[in-house]
Amino acid sequence: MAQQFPYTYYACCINASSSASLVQKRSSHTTTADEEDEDRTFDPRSPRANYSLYPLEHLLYCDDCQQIRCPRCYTEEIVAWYCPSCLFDVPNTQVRTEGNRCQRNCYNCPICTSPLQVNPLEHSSHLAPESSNGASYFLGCPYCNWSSLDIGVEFAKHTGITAQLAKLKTARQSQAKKEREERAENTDSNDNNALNERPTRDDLFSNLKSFYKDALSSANPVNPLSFDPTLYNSPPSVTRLMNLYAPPSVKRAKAAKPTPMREAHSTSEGLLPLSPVDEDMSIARMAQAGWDSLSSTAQRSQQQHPTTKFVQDLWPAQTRLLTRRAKRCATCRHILTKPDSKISSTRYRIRILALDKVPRLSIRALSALHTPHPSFPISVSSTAATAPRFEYENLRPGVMVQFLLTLHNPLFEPIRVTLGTPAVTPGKLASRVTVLCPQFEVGANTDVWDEALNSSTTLSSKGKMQPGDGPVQAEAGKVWERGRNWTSVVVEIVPGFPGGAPTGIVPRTAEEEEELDEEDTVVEVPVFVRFEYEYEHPDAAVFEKMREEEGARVKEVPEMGRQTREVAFWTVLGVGRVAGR
Amino acid sequence: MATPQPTASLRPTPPKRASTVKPILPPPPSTIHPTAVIASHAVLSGTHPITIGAHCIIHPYARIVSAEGPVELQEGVVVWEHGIIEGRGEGVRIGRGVIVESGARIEGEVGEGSLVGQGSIIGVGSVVGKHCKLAPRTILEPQTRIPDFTVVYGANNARRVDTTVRDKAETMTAREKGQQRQMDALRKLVPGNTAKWMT
Repeated sequence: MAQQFPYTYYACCINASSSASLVQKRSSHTTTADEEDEDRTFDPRSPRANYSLYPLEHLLYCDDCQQIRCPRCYTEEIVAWYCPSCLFDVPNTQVRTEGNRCQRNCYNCPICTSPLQVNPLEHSSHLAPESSNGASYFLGCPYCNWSSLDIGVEFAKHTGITAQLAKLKTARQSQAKKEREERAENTDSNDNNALNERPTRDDLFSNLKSFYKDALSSANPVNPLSFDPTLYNSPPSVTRLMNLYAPPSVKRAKAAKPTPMREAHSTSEGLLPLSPVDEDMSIARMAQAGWDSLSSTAQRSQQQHPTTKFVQDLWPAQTRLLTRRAKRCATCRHILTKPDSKISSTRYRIRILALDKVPRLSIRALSALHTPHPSFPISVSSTAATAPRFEYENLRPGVMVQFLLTLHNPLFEPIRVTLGTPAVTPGKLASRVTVLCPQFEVGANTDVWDEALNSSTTLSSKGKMQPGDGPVQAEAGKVWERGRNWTSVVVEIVPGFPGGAPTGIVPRTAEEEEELDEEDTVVEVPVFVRFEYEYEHPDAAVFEKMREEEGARVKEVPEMGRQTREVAFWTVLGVGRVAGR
Repeated sequence: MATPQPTASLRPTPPKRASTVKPILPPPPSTIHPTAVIASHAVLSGTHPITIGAHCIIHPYARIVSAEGPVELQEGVVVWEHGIIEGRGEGVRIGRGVIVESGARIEGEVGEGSLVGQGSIIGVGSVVGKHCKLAPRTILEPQTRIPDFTVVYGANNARRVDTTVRDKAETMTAREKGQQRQMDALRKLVPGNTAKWMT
């Protein structure tokens, strides 16, 4: 794992059934199995855990469900389409009708994909006829120096490039068709007639589209319940009727099997038969122009027709549009993030991050701690410089290590936290874990200046001895240190023995005898965090305002206004790696 | 810190706004056209002759080194900041109107009208043809030959022939015009101190 120790991951979507739609579909039997699953300790070693652990920064929070939301449990929806080149907003209706390409003057280089510029081309006086006004325009790539002049495209105006390009393209296609006809006439081929009728790609596409449309409509009639007797004569109509009256189980099986349709088998239906004349032409062209004249796969994928073989035939590609997306909770459909609809601004209108709603857990080895204040991790004292660094990569099995777990509260209310850990971590490396103070309070995230001004009063309760009195001694049941919106507690961890415990303590099993891979030496502690806090219900503020207006001033918010909210989630603390035996 | 430093007070303090670059070695034997603009922070060093043609512009912190061979910059060459041109073997010749962008390092020959992109490296003994373009961060191995009108671009040093400039005289003149305009602007902007290197 590239991640450096120590780290904290937050678990989301531990059960696959967490999304509402799945819960509704479940039968009673599996639901009970899930309930059992919920009661079990979260195992960071299980293959499922790979898909449910995230750093806190990657998570969102749903206020209504009071749960963390990960990319697996929120849905995305498109707020706006825009062109990354001209930063113009494109309305949804235009995207639906004209596709996800910029319809303005934005084009990308067919060779290297960088955005093209419209450049003026000044004809020298002796070359240009006077009627053409002496100037025309071309698309040029500022990176690879490709220009539309390479494919013989010039524009009369610098605006409306799309319309001008389309006109040029149709002109070119008709020209190519004429050439092919001439060539076919000259060659003594048997199927000259077929070649003469060779349509353009656009014609082929429309032919194929209409063919499939006809085939689909004949397979599934539009209105099967109309009283037209001819409708019930065709076999698809009969099967549809049967489906209507069949029991649900039969219906599902029938729906899965689509009726077979025949494929297109002529040019009028959109089939493009292989033509020897065309193949001979392209082979001759390849032999003449060489390898450099052929387009690469990446270049072809940018083209409207991915069968474009030659660099000479590559056409500038319209810039693809990008989207701005809002995120919604999959369970309650509430919006979690919504970007500003203005393209030029990078702000969010709504953004509910887990970082602002859920306490942040961080763990460090106690012996590595020399700083007097956790808010300042960079120490300037001379003792810190000389003290040896704690080696998280080199924990000794069987030797107890004290770690300091710090919780930062981002909320404006004080929270009561309860931590739960299994006594022995799951997995092959069974480490023993003890949280010395599993229940404590964390202060509210008030103004930073409050702490600075009353620094003597805030750091009142400490469970630690004075530094400098020999080895530090943590007291069970007391917090280690407490600040404005953070509290630290001591966690004692005895790392297990890789490859099984020494004989005498725990008997070895056959599984433990198996070879351990690198991942099995990592000490990861699952921690269940449950916190509750009282908050003022929005109605309470309204109530108080009303009372004030009436003249009866009340200092305390009535009991009905304050509510207790409870949030719980699993986290995984990666504390280090056990050294080999 | 507050501790007094007696050595600092004894040393004569240099006058403000003086150039910090001091020629330690004698300047190289150079032939510089009087219309060339060489910034005072540019560095010309070495023992072999350096020739700088008319209307050349050498930006501050550019280096022209002739320690291992002579260097010749023909008319209208622009070398941007931190660009390095090093003479090797029988000499390095940079053709007319070549632009060497910032951070590029040239140890080979470059033909007329070419553009060497930012941070590119042209290896020893390489020959870049006329009107070529090396995209930023292109690295040419020593003894590479690039034919005229070639564009070297992309991660794999892909090459293509610049048919636009080769076949259309109008584009060539347009490019030269643009370059001329850029040169005129630079001549006003770059503070020249050519006299410093005239011997």
